[in-house]
Amino acid sequence: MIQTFILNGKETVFTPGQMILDAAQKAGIKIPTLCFLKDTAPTGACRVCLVEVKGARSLMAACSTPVTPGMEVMTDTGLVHKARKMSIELLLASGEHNCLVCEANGDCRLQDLAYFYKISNLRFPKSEAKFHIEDDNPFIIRDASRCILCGRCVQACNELTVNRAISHGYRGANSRIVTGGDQPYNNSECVFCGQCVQVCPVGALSEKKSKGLGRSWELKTVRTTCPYCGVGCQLNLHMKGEQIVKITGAEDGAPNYGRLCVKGRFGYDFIYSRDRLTTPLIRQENGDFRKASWDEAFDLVAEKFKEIIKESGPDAVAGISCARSINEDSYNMQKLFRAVFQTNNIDHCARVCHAPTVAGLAASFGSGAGTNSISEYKDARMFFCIGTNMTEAHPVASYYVKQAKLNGAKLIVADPRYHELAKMSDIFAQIKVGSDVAFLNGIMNVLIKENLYNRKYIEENCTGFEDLKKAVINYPPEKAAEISGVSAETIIRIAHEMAATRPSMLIYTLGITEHSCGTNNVMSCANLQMLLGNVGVEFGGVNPLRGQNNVQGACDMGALPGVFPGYQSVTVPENREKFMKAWGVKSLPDKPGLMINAMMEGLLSKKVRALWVFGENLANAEPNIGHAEKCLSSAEFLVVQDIFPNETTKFAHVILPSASWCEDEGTFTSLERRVSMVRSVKKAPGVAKPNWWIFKELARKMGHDWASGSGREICDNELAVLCPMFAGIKFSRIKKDGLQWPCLSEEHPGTPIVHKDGKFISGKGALKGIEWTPPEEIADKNYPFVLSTGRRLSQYHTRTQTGRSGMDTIYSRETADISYADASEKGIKDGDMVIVESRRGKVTVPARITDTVPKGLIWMTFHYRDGNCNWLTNNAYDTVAQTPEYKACAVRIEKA
Amino acid sequence: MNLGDREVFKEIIGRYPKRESAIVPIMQYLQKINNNYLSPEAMNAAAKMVNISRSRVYGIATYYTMFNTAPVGKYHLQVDTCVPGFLHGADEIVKYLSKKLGIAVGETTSDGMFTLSVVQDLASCATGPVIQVNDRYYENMTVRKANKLIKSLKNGKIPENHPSMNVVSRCGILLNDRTKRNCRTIGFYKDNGGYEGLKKAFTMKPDEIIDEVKESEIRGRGGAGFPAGMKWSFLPKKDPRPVYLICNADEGEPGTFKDRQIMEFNPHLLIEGVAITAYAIRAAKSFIYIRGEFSWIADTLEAAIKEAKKDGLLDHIDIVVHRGAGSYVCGDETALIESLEGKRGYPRVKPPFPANSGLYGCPTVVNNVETLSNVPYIIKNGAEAYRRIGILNNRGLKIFCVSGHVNKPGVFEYPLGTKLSEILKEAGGVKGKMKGIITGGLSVAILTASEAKDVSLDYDSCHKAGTALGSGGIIVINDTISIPDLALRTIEFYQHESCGQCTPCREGSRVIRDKLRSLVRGEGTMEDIDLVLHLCATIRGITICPTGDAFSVPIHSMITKFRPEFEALVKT
Repeated sequence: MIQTFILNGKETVFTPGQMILDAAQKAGIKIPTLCFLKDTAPTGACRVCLVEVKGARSLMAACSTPVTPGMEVMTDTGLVHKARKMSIELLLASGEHNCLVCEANGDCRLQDLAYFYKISNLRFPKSEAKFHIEDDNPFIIRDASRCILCGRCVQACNELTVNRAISHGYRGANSRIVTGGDQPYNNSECVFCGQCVQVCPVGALSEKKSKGLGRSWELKTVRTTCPYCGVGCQLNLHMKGEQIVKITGAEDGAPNYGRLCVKGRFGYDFIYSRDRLTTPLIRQENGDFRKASWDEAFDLVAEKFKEIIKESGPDAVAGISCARSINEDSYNMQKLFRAVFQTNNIDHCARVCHAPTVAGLAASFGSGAGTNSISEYKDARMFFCIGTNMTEAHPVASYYVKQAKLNGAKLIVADPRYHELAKMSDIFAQIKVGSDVAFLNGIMNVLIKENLYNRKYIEENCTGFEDLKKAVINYPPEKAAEISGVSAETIIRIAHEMAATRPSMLIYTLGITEHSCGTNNVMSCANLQMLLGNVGVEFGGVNPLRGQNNVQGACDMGALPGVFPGYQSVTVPENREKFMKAWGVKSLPDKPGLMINAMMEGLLSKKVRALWVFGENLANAEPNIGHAEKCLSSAEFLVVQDIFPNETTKFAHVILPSASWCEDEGTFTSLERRVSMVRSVKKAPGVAKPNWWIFKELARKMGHDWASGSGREICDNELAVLCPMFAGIKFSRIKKDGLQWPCLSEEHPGTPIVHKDGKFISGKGALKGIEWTPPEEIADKNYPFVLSTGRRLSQYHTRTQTGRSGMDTIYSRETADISYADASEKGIKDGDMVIVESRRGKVTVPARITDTVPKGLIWMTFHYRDGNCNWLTNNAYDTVAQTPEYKACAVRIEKA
Repeated sequence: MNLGDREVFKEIIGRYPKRESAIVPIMQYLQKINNNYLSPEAMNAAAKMVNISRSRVYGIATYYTMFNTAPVGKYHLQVDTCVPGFLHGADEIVKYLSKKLGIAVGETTSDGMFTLSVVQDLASCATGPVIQVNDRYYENMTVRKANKLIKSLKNGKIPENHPSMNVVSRCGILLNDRTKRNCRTIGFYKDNGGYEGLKKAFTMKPDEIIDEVKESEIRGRGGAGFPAGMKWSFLPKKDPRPVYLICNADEGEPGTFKDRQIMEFNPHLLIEGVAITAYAIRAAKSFIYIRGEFSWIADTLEAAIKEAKKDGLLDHIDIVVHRGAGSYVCGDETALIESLEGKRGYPRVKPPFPANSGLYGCPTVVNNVETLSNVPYIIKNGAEAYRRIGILNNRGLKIFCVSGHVNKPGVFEYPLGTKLSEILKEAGGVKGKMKGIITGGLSVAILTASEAKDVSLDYDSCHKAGTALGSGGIIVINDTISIPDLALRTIEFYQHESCGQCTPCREGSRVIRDKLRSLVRGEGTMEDIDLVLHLCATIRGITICPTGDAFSVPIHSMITKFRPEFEALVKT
């Protein structure tokens, strides 16, 4: 039944529960407000949205008064304007609102309302309060004298991002927004997501980097996709000419709806860095690089590759694609290797992170991607998060988990570290590094033994139950407890909770995959969710958080040794036929190619004579740097294509300069299989070129003329045509929100949840009994500590981007994170220099004593060259997916 | 820093259904064991203990006035200079102490012994001036007594407080005989017919009790006068969520000091009222939210609860005494709920109302101490007996508090509808010539002497006279007082107490204060007077909670009724 109310004398439709503000807005009547913030509980604080409601004793706040049938609301009366005007006048008297020097000038709601109410002189005495301007951090300027205490920043911080760094402080006219202890942001729990800045309706909070760069009316907005993690946040670039003045989260864009993290909001200026590669470079006899023309560089590469292929066959060349670059670049690179060079030796950095996901989930479900969508998080009933440090590695995804938790969802966290998400959890299982299979088997043991699993689901949709049962029966909670270090009671409690609250969303990241048993870990996660009947349903599924912005896409594009784009196997003759026809070649190789670590070893053994590295800093990112560099330095011919010189370009024979994010148009695919637009807003520096163009030109040099001459043409004319799962994905359809594959036709809406209702892509879900195996290297007498590795919030990979965006001021160098217990035993104080040594190398870094790591564990990252954990990590690999065991090796630690 | 006793923290956290509610008591405990100072380390420790953010803890610490985020002296002397204190000569005491100790207000003596502060309303209006030393009151202060107090404190001796005031109970229902040493004990209470109402209640169905209270027509005694039985009947039926009963003991309206008379001397009456009401509304958990300054009264209540529990009277209800930490606004029921949830006392937007979504989002009834204390009589004697007291539409009795310029200030338990003149006579008559009178606590419109002449003390009569019965706090002002001074003192209180959440109250109270200040200093203009009137008229009714009205109504009335006094101050 349609319900109506009377708005300014006109019968107007509303939906039950709707507030006056919203209903009026939908009806085209704009009611001003300073404090209302979408997706948060209305506070009614500013009193600017007051309206007259017939029969009410006083004016009502439109933001927080629900509409009732027949209600008569007037938004434009003398009484309303008198009250609103007074509040605006009071606010103007409450601080220093000087528009001339304010960054918000032209984009300020207080200014707009002062103008509307024609307030020219201040009738009210100004407050005497004096506030200083805080600008001692790299990103945010806080000027409390411009603050109108609307509280939107507090709501953004506590309700939207749940970072909980700020609160209302003091009271009455002395009120101001405070951090813990009223310290500057720099010295607080603030993580610089900048959400407070985005929601500030005035100039109290502004972007430091934007200062003086442009007035609001000079800026034009361009929507694009974030270049950092795999969440795929939608950004609005605020451009003045070719300059990004600031970035805000797109309020209407999935999946982030306005939310961003520190990297996405502030980590953009690397594209303007003076360090950018601007011209092709060729190494000379003396080892120095000289500038070269594109022709010269292409000739050299073409000649060298031709020669090696001629002498040693196509499999003597190999390529590593880039997971940060657009889909169309990876597509063209694998096309170059397959169609022109005639080898399947093409891989990319999913190999060192989520290859076990692709392998494991494909084996279990028939598709190697995450099953559900980020939009489900906020309404989910339960989460099981294992091996994921979401708040740092995938901040925006974590916002929704935290929000759901605050709204009553249950949160179970299993991790070796007591990190931020663990601190919010209902149950925290502090598992030992590398014990995941045993721990998960223990939970499944309880579920099966106590008959708490979803028998009907299993019978209808899955195979292999007996095999699974046979395996997990050997992992009673007591045994699982012994291996994992989590008490049997906790394991039983988790099983009971998960059985009681269904469905739950299982979320994991690299804590699952980066093990020598990575694929087994992934399949164990799949087993658990199938056993509970949690796959193929809303608020359920197995949700791997993919690391880089386009690592999903690079996989989808076939930058993998065994599959063409769209996961079409190279070993299937019909697939080869199809691609031969499309690519105009007479043959395509039928044998899967080499994976990254085999390519690296191949450089040493000379089986691989030429390697083309596109956007991958192998010298810092591979395990056991000493060994990795030995491999790279033995390369006969190394082509490195990148936007910056880095530790890997040092080994190159030819360096090719690329266009970066913001300099080319194409698509990224996020961890929820969402294909989104990436737009170009500036020219690449010097003669740097789009990556797809570089591959296309090299192909041309070798006699192959490719038709597609832009990202759009590659996407629309090749991908959509050749890959059934992308058939409906066309540039014209993804102008705003992207589409989630599978998207089978131009009418298909995309697929938020795969394996819907237990109908697995592979037909039936495959349960599989899995035995626990320990990490390749475990702590012993000589190396008594376990080293595990990961990422920190403000940095990204080897810092090629974040190191040039001001992030170093937040986290300036590598540290060795150590427990209080171990530190005190070793006499180490916070900040003391320590030597961390493994069988492969040693580093000297400051110690960081924290309650996050348990006794016996050292934790580090690979962000910095100096103190990089990869000097220490073990080049041991997952048996199936060949992913290195970054998460576990043995070290010793001493005071330096 | 003294980290405190693990067991104490465990006990505190155990009182509440949600851990976060324990934050204020934990901060209070940490402050108490650390020389009355809440250090940054203590705040961080508290945050960790209840798992909330540091910023939220800091927001709480700086919201409530009783938290000291800077070190204070061994003896923190806090003089109440709000309107009743002002009328009783509190300014003299401040001046004296400042001179005697050689420090200004807000300072600490160099030996770290004394800190001198002025505070707003300690609900000690008839026994003013009052000095609060740490958590003890010293009432009926004079310069001579203050001198003696300082001397004693210097010698390390904490003296007893011996307040004296006029207590008259015409009805004999709420106020007991406090001259009896054992007046607070369960034995005394039972000997005088106590807990018979509860016993009778247990023989009735919960809904029958609600009906009985409805029929008694008792209206809420906190100030708003909403029918109590009706409030209870708003609770949703057959709702799976727990129901909470909260007793509002955050007595803070200047001129009001009635609830403390019940709690301090007749605690079992309130406990019985809570027990019956909890049974009626099917609550298993109840909180008595008492203002933090009343710490010894809170102790009295806890002792009474212990006695009643031991006596097997409270098997159906767990009653927790929750101490506030210094905030007038927390007297608003939704601010009180927020505060009880471990937050700053910000009133909520309504709807939803507490009956549907109150404490922890559950159905909640909030009633004033005096309201609940009437319940035992109503149940024991029946609604009809209760209705026989008072007059039509204003049933029952009320404790009237009289402070200011009368000869014998105190509390007077009389039927509603009693003539104001009769109460004033009982209070020893007006000292000097009456200029104006406030009938319902500082937040209502002032009456001139002639307007007050025929007023009866009930809701309707006061309303008809253009004011309100409010909480029954009667403040008498004689002709030695300048109304602009009174207005400034009034706005200073509300400006100090404004929570700061909504614009008109936060900024409006500040601007009115600044304008009145300059007027009183002789620096104001005619336009300033009109500007204040404009603000008062516009603010009325548009703030989130009634605090906006609480200052705009009295200030507006003071100016309109005594305008010549304001105009006389305008510079020429």
